Amino acid sequence: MDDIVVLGVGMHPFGQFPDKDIRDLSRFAIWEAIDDAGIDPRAINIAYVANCYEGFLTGQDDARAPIVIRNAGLGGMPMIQVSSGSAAGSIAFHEAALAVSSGIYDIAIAVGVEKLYIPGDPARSIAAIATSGEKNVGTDMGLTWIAELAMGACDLMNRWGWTAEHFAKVAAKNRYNGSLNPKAEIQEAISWEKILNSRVVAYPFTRPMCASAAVDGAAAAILCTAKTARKFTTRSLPHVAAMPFKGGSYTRPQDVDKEPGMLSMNVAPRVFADAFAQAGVGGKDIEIAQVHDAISAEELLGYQVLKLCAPGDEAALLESGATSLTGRVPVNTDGGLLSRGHPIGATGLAQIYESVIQMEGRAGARQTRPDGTNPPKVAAIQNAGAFGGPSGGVAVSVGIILKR
Amino acid sequence: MTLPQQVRARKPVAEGLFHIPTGPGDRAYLIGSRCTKCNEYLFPRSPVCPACVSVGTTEDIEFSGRGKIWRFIVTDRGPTGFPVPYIQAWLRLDEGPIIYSMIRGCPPTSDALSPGQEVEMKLDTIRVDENDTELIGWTFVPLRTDSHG
Repeated sequence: MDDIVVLGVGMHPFGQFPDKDIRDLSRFAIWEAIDDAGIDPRAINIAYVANCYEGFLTGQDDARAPIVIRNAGLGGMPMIQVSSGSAAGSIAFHEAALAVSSGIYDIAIAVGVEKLYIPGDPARSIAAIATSGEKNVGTDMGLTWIAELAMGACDLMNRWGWTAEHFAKVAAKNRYNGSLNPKAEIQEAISWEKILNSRVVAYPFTRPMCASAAVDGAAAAILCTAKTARKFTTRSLPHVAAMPFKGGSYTRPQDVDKEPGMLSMNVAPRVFADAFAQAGVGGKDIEIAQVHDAISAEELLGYQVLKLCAPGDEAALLESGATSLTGRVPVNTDGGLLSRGHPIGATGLAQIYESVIQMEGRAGARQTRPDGTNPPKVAAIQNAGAFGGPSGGVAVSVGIILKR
Repeated sequence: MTLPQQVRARKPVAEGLFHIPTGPGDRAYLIGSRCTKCNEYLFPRSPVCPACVSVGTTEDIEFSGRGKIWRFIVTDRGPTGFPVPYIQAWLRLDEGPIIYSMIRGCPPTSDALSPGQEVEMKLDTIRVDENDTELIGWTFVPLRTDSHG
């Protein structure tokens, strides 16, 4: 199999855009990716569109891939819609990489777009995201994603010695990173003390420790084989070293305490075991990571799952500054879900966008140089989606390792 | 002559998950399955057993409605129609499965409950939907051991 490379990336800023719909948001991201790739857009011959809630929120239940692609001015190619909550963008990337690795398609585009900001009605955004859980036994009975994550995190505070102060410090780090990202939803840094004393959403989680449900955005990536890329550029491009993608499976009730403990992370150790084996790297080789921090505790568990430290050393790793922008393994350099924002279907591709521009040394004020000189050469991306219970196994997990 | 009092329509949140009592002496219960091959108890009812990966080995069962709190949290926001704040919990039913439920019958504060606490099922209005219909589902309430109920 030829190396699959990321030829270009694009992103519409994340935030609240009452005057834009999914067509406007995705068109911007698609054309920025086309410009970045430096290709004639007619050369793209397959498209994957990640979007989760436009059906629930507007009644546009079907045909969202052709709608997004046609309204970007493109057409005449296979167009496939993908979903599964927060992992949708990573799944689109995974499928696009498979398509070009098959040899049947030369150039693929993966687009993620979501419009979740509904002025004056935040409960409607939460209701939309609730459709990413199994309805009849969970979300119809009141289960919300923030609560599911927070319930897991509370258990882990006892297991690993984490405190609300650590959760606040993760959020403060990511808010600082987001303050340097002109495309972030929230571009205002805030102290960990202020975060700790903010309004409680689900104790001990305060508002700045949880990603907002009401955010719009889009991101895109264009992929092809290394051989195809040489027709367009002589640049050294990030390539996909591994991209395992697994769904959850049934866990017997007596075994749930043996799992990492937060639904979004339960499949991730199996995913990253494969990712490390396929990419020929270990946790110590990762130079930059984008971790799914829908609530800030997930980032701490991510340190463990990505083997950035030994289990139990997560808080010490954070406190050491190793995961800050100037550390040895910066995490969530664009602000993460907490600050860059989390328009669900677009998130996975925003993680790709950030990894690529960091690896190519064009991340501006937030550019990282883990070895003190060069941009990162090995990037890990952890993403998860869907929810609904420790035994249910509804969640899916994607792990991507890029190398340059 | 007085006008009849306005009464909201009521319906279950979903069909097939629990039994609503039809008269005196009838009991409300969650409907599940037991695998006759590996003895795994499952909720909701399932024609396959995901524990031993078998099909056609399960039989319907009525859960006792007793369980213990595994994890819980108080949330101050919820989807459309859910009165906030409310307590969300994962419970271990006495028969084994971990299920989701709201907790009622105690104040929605983080010191009102503790993990391991015994709870019992009570059918209740989960929320009122956009058609002003009361949606009925399971909730769990702390088990009272005192004689005052």
